[in-house]
Amino acid sequence: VTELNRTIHEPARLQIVILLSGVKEAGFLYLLHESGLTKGNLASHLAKLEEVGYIEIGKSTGPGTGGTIIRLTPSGARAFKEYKTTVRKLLE
Amino acid sequence: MAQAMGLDEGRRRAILHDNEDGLGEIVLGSVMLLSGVIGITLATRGGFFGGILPMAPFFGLLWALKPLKARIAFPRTGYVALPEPSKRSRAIQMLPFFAIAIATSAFPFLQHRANAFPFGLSLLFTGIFIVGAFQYRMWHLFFPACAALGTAVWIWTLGVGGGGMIWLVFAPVGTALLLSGALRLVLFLRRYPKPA
Repeated sequence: VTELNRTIHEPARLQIVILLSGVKEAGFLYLLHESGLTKGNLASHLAKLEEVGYIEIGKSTGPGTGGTIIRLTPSGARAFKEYKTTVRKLLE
Repeated sequence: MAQAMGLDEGRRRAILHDNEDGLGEIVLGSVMLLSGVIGITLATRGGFFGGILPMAPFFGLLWALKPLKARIAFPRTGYVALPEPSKRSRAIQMLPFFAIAIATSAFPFLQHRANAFPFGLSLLFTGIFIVGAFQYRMWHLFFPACAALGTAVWIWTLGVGGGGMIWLVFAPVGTALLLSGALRLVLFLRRYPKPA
């Protein structure tokens, strides 16, 4: 039986990864706005994703960016691609 | 609580989010309208400035949009940077312009109509807006699509054309984009008041 990546499979984290997969980088407020998660919940899931190296959290000094910038790492993008392949195989 | 979301929905969500404020349409519409007005005014003069000056407002796109987004949209709904388009998608975007050029040179009856190129460009804009409307479910794009189609019909039936009249297309399409963007911006500002 093919194993699903449990880090990504959790619904809130999957949503974050999906949102980040479509952008170059995004602010915390964008993820908050699009995911519908609470600030605390979003922050804890981001910390978990950062811990496994799937996302990078940095600071931006650009105007209006809100300070915190989040982007998917190449490792995160690869993990998400593999996750999608696995899910599609399971559904076939 | 997490919302239901398709696995490939990230890019579409980002594009919808990026266009929700109407600022892109306002800036692009203003630039097109300004280019159209300058182009039509200089159409009879021709020469170097007649060809170059109408293009000048397009440089405004590079610096006007980002500061507006940073001031109006990002503090309300968050910062997002879309990925750079790939070489393949850039090439695909250029294809219709080549198609018009090939069509006008391949079919003699098109060459004899001075309005063939403005007509083709109007149809091209119509197609782009309709494809965008269906691709990203941005139904408001039917408004500039109708403006572009109306311009095409007007150009073809009345035989409007001649040197520099390519810019004639830009004015109505730009106005439609500007109006559509302004309405969307008002709705956006009502929906998302400035955070304290």
